[in-house]
Amino acid sequence: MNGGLRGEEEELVHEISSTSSVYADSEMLPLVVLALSALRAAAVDPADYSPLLPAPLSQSNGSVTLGVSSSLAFEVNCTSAYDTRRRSDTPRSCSRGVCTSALAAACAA
Amino acid sequence: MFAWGVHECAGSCVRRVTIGVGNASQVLQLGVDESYTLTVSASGDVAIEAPAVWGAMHALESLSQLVVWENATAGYELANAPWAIVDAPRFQHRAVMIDSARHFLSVGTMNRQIDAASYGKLNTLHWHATDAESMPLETAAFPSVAAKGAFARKFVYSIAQQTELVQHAAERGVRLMLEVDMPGHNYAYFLGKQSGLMADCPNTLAPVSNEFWKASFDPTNPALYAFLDTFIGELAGRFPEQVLHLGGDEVVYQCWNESVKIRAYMKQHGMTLPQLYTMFERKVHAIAARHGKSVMTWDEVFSAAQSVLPKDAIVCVYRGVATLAAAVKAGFRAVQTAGFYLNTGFDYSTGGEIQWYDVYSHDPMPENLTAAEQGRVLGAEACMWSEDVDDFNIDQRLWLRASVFAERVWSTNATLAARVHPWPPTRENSNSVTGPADIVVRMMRHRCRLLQRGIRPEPFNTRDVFPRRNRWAQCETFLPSVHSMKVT
Repeated sequence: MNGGLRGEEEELVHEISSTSSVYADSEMLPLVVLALSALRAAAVDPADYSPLLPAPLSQSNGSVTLGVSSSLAFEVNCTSAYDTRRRSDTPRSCSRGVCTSALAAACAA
Repeated sequence: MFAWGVHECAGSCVRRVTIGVGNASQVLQLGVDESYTLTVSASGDVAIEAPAVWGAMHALESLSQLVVWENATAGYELANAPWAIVDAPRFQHRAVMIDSARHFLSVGTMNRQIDAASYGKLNTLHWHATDAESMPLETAAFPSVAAKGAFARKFVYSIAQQTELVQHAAERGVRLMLEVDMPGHNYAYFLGKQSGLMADCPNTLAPVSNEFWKASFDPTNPALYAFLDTFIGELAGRFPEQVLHLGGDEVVYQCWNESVKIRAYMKQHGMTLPQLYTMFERKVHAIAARHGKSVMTWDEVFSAAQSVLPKDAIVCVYRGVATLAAAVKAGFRAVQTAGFYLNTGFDYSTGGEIQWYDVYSHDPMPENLTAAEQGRVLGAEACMWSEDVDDFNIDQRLWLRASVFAERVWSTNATLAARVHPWPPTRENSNSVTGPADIVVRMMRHRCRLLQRGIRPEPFNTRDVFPRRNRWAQCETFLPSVHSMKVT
């Protein structure tokens, strides 16, 4: 009966079997599994979808799936010059006075 | 941004990320603006706006978390576009504390903890670098202290390695806050043979004593302050972080009381042991201020010596919410570590294990504070004391729970209540998850991210989580790099 089911569906079968003797080993089982799967999927409101950790302060999203280009380009626009203050005791590898990020360095360039 | 070859996508694709930074000169320090906005259009245009670089870096982390590998297309995808995210942290001080004095942690291990912190938008690594067991910080002025005070010469953090750690952290938006614990917890200085530092307490310092951790500096010796002026001055120059942690915890008067010299000093000046402690704190804070540092201390200093604490001092609370409330009511800034000792229960301690739901259910902010008092609660730290932790288990012991902590201190209570079901999570209800948006799936997914990026967090128990065979429960299914990840 379960030979063609995938992992999540097997879980559903387990759940159904353990909670309802009516559907266990029933011919209707595959149909019930499909229906429950659809319900599970429908229960995930796209507006409630968030893969982020930590969760952001606010978010809204839609349902379009985008590909990601292998030649993804980043463009950095900075509205002020990067601080190049120096301190005499700053180690060589922090030669900009404060050790800072590559992103800040991009702003300085 | 991505480590593997990606099939070139057709149609709507993310091809360009535009990053706008309002003020690129904002230095990474306590209180820097970390807010950002991130938008992804339905056609794939990605725009990041942030007042400072540090917020833009958080936005890039968020963007990376939106992108997933899809086996079906053998490429990366960004689902559920268009996106509009407005984000900012709840607390300005969000730290993990690691202890490299009880067991040495290699630079590589420390860098991994910094990396993992940044993936959760934690912004501070509190480095408890010295303790009774070892003093591994090399200084140019006093090289023998580390050479002899470390477990062995190979367990010394060279000056170059200290600088490397500072740089590594800064490049990831993480403040590296050094702690040099004093006047107690410093038997290792005694081993360093630097004369004039230690109180003469022969019983405590006896080679067979199991009370070595009670050894203390001699606060009556002018040579101590000359040493500390040079020592702190050198470290202050090497560590650009504005805040220096000077410990101050668990000063046991037994050692001072043993010392004939110190007892004579106290009698001559009409001082008590607590007054001696206060005198030390006043002098060492003045030294730190002279080298341009604000000081963080463990909360005993607030309790015993608040009269000499400068008002810019930050109280690092580990003895409960009431102490935190008292500190901010007294006008000091404070951070909470009580309830976030993630070593507890897994080590020598008698307390219970801190589980992920314990972390979530513990709000660092005490109740019944005024708005001004709340403003002085800077944040919290997840602490990993390392009596039972070293290079080989710190990843598993600290993560994934520290990632949960990261969300606790970044997200507002309202956000958590909306994203963590049921709320608040407890031992009893922690298996009653409701769906893919729930924290359990996000935790599983974050663990996969950490694995993908070279961290080795402990697995999450998915036994009772539905569906058990969630796509994120077995990371290797969806993360092509896991199988080939180099284990060192």
